[in-house]
Amino acid sequence: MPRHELLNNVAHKDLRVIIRFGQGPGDAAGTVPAFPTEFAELQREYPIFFGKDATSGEYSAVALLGFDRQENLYVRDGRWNAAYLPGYVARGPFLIGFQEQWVEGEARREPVIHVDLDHPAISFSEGEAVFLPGGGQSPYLEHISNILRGIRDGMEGGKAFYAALAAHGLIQPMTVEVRFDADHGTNLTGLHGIDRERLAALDAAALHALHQQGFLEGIYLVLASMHNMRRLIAEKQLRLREEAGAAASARTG
Amino acid sequence: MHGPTASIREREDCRPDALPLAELLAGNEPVVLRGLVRDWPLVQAGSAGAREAVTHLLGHYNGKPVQYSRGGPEVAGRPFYTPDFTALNTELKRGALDALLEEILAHAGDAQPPTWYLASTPVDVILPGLKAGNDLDFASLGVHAPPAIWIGNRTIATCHYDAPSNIACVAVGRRRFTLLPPQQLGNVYLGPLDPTPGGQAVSIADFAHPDFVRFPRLREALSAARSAELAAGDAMFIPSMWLHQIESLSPFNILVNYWWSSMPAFIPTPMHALYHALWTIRDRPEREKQAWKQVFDYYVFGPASRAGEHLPEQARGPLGPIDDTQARRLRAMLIDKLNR
Repeated sequence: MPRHELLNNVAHKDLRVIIRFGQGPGDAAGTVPAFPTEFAELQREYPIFFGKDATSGEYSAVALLGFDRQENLYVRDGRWNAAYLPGYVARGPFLIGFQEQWVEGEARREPVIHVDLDHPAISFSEGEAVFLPGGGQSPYLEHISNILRGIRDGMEGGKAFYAALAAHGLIQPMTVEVRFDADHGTNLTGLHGIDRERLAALDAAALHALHQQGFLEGIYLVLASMHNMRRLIAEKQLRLREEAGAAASARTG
Repeated sequence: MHGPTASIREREDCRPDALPLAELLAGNEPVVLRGLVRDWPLVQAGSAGAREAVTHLLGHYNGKPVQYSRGGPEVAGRPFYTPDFTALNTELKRGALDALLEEILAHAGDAQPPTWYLASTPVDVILPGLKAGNDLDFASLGVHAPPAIWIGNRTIATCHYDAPSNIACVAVGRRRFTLLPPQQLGNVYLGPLDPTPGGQAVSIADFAHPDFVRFPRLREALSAARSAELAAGDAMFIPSMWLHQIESLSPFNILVNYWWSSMPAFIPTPMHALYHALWTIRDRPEREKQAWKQVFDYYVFGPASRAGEHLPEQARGPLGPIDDTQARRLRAMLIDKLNR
């Protein structure tokens, strides 16, 4: 059970966070939420798809990490092998909360940082200090604040982005068939992607509108991210060979 | 109130479109501005009755929720503290202004009604358009002073000070103002810095039933107090930093006030400096404190140019006049130094 508390420098003064992967939520998952604010970084290393919420029908982006629900091909021996860590993962045990504050006669939703004290990365003895000895913000906490701000902006700005793409019919279901070797392969279902043909068929006015809203770049970043499928498949093939090798040596040994 | 209190200077020649701000500021004394806003439509409506005032207000209400304090009958109109002073004796509520006004009116005849107090809410945020006809003309004097509205039944805004200068206009109901010069600060027994009933530390002594055994210095404060009762249409100039207690005396009361600062927006509140001084100076040995007092007298409380005038202009930094650029540098420096 998550135990969320409003982060503060008195109650959590000795709080530390262990930067090690493989245990936290999202570490052993086939996808993580992705935000348009990080598409430029993500598309260098991760395939970006869209998921569709079963109840609301709204789309949101995900970065693909592996070929089944629990498979994260970026993590090996507690290390995350990529130059850029998705914000959803990099935020560690921290979350954005909102506090309603009454300022100048009006209610304002002010973003605040919450911490999940039951997150496996929480420690009081090792890892990155959250607060400086005097109670100030550590560089790590400032880094986390930036990540959370990016997630918040990405969530807010993302809604309009997904809605515009959906309105133009650019998000379509994709069936991704992958063969790893003679014996192994998978069908990825439930993922959506940009429909290249529909994009190519957009008229000048539609393209201009998407460009003016700043959405065209995001569309091409998602398209460009598809080449990372090859990297993911290569990693999967490597792991399959390692497993086969380990099984063979177990039989002979 | 304990004993007779001195009266406050009065003027009857002031008009909403010709505020004698410079004179009032130079006087640095409270002044009753009799009849200043007697021609406001809101005041006129209120003179016909509370219901008429409510109708006038709601004609301008935009439906946005408002925040107000509500206390049980035991609060007796005094938003204050629980006995251990860690919490307030009223509850912060949010809701529609029309519902709040109806509740107040519904209990207008009660001998001991619940307490309702909507404090210091910007007029433009909830009542756009009220200003047309119900306003003081600060703009033509180049002063930024957006009006705030205060609505409640019989309540006391307990003795406190505010940093800005203030013209408080009684629009509906009668109000008693009790003012004390800033020198009486140490004699009114101020409460916690946080929480506070209205943003500022308030006296924890009850002026109406003074307990001189517990609060002996209160005698001196009350002997320096000046008091005046204002009717709808009257206004009070409260100089910056003067202690003031304001009692609304009618079953339904509205006040509209204007605060304005003598300083540009890039000069923040001295309260930050006060907190910092509590933290860094107060608990030092007396000899160190005395030396620091001299340091502050030299740099801060003496003539503004003293600490910089013997230096070439380009070498003065914060010892010279503070402008927007200097304010930015100071802010960045302090944030950096404080993050330890």
